[in-house]
Amino acid sequence: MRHIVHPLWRHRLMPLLVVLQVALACAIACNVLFLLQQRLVPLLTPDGVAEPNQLIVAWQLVSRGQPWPASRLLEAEAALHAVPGVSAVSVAGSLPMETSAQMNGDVIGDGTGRRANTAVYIGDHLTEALGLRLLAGRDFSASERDVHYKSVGLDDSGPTIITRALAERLFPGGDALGKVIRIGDDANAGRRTVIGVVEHLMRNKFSQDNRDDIDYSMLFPGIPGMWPMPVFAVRTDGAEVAGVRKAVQATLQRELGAELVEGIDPNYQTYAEMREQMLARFKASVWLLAGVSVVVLVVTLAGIMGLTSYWVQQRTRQIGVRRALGARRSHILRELQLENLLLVGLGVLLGLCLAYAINLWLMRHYELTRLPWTYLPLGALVLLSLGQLAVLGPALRAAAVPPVVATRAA
Amino acid sequence: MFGYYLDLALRSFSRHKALTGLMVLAIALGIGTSMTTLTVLHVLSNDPLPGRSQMLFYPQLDPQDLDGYRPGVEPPGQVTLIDGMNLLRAHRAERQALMTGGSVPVEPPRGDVDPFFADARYTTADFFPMFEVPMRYGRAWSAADDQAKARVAVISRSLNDRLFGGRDSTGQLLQLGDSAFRIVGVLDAWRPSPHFYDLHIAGSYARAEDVFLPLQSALDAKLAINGSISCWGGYAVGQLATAPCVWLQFWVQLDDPAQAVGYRSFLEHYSQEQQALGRFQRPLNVRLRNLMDWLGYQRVVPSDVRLQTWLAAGFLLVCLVNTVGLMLAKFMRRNDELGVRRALGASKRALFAQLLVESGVIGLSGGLGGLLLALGGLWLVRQRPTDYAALAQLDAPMLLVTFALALGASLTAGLLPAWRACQIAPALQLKEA
Repeated sequence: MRHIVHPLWRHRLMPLLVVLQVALACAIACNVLFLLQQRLVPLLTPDGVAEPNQLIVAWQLVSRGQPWPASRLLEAEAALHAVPGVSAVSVAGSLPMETSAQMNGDVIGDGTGRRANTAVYIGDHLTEALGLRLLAGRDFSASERDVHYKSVGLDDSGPTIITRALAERLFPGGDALGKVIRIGDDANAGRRTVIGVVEHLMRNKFSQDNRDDIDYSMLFPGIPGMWPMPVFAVRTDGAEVAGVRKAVQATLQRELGAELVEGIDPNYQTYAEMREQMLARFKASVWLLAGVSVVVLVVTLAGIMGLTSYWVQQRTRQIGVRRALGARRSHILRELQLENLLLVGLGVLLGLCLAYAINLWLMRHYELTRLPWTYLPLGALVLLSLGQLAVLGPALRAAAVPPVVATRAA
Repeated sequence: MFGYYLDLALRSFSRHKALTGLMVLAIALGIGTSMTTLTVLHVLSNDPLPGRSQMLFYPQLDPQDLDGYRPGVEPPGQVTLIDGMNLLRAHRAERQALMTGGSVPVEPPRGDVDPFFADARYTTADFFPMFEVPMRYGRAWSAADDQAKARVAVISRSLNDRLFGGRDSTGQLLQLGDSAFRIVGVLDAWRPSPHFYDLHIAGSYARAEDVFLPLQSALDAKLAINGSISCWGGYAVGQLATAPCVWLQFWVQLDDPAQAVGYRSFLEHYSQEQQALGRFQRPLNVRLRNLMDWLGYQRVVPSDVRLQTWLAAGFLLVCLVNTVGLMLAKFMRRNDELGVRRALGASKRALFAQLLVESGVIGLSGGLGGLLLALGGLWLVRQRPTDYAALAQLDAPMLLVTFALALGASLTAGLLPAWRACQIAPALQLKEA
């Protein structure tokens, strides 16, 4: 070891620069990769909605004056059901990928006391219309669907269907079926009994970091009351989606058009289009962050390579001498690789501390979450392999130095 | 001497093409990303009315009931119609304007254009002089028009182009649904950025509206309101005029700090008066922020943009350290050349200058590359689905900043390597070479 450390110490400027470069690259790469992963979450998590191209969503229907009563919404729903090609229709308060109106809040698992920030979707036929996959329990019964809430419905008690992720969060390890979830901390808050668990259903309000809570959603049966922006989810049988969409638009225009607030036009889109629009900004972020991390790593690779090859060139004569004294090619190669490992390792160590410091600072100013420790070994591994990659070329060149060089003058 | 150093630098570049290319690339990448994000930040944190912004103030009152009251909470960001009209009538500021956004159905005068909805602003007469809105034809309406609920309108240049082919349309009638408004003025191109006077509409960097109408006339004609409405004490959209809802923006112009102090105490007075009347129930809570403070408080610059700027700065630092290393490697390799120059009588200082010129040239080439990358980056930003996308353009000051940053960065990066390379004993080098 001494024969490696000693020369490094004697020419400390060069090695120091390698260490500094690695530390900076490591700190930035860790944080960027962490941000990148957060932005990837909504893109990669399944949202639970089946056949997104066959689901038509009518949204931004805003009533003039008082919100529509449930009876008017049900009339519109029945009219939509009569459209040829429609297989299921649901009135809803809000839907995934629709952010103009949202219902979110903290709910508490009764008995376990565990809480989770959850999205609530209220509608009468949402399981069929969205095509959710029921894993356990049952769907809402006809009488449960027929509830017309006086207010929005968040404070009422009744049955609920929740996602598997939420079930595991609130009732870890146990069967959530039959358990009660309290909707908020109030003493008179609604109590919802879990009657079914679905595989996935994405929330519609995203925050900076949704790694844990993206799939925390609850379904309440019934029709929200006094809700100014109802939406309609219309499931088609797959043929002629464009034609059905036109028919849906015409039907709702006929049913509710006269009572719409002027100047705010409703939207009629397929769920796939809404998803595309909603996730566009995450996609753009992902490209940006991925680009930055790749370039940081490439620049670092080039930097280490440049420095190492100079470092090797400088010592050509010494290497020749060592070869003449009996060192084998593999010795020289091994030695340079070890030297690089040492320097990059030191840089990584510094870089990880720096990464944590940057993360703490970002947490203070930008509502970011804590960097999970798993990123540290990952970042270390990436940079150590990068260092080895960078040293390979110069080291091979060094190993190829013939012993005869030692006999020549510089 | 400079010319000679430049010549030497170019010769050295052609000898170490790969190394030089790498350095230029590193600087270009660092500068390119930094300038992209800095330009976006610069555009977004723009002062929309330079020279006037410190005279424009946004008063806030707290007319809410005690339901959900917590001490220390900020008053609402808008005013009710009642308070807005009261403040307007009190006329305690140099200029003042009460406004809200709207949406109007435009029936084009020519048959070949289909009817469409246009964004509108319902406001009062001082809006135009207070915000220095440029006029192309005609004039703004007067306070008397406000009083008389006159059916007059000012339209944007682009709407004038669309409806009247860019001709002077003053005096023409503008049919908005069932109501007709006489056009009295046409704006010149105007895009305040951010859309400072109302941050609630379609993002903080939305375009200015196309139709401007006197507030009272628009309400009289029952035209649709567009914007954020926040109510308390029961839900009732439909009778906004009397409802406990805040939905209007109120701006005042106060020419000097003394006036601002005076206006603040007027606001306090007004609140106390309303408390005595029983309308305001919460403890006295007024704010009077000037334009830039208001924008800062509203956090108009998206936090994503600020985060990206930090990210890019970090990236520039990585590129810089990288360049330091590469320059060191390059300069130290030229020991023999520098030794010869020293032996022939060049001072350390001369060598230092020569090497710095070389770094500077690398920096400028990097800056040029960075400029191209920044232009590409800004193009990418403009393709993004954000309300500020169209604003992401490089302007002259940022162009200068690009080259200053590149030159500064490369000279900083060159200092240490150049200093190290100068520490050469001439005799030793000659002997070995």
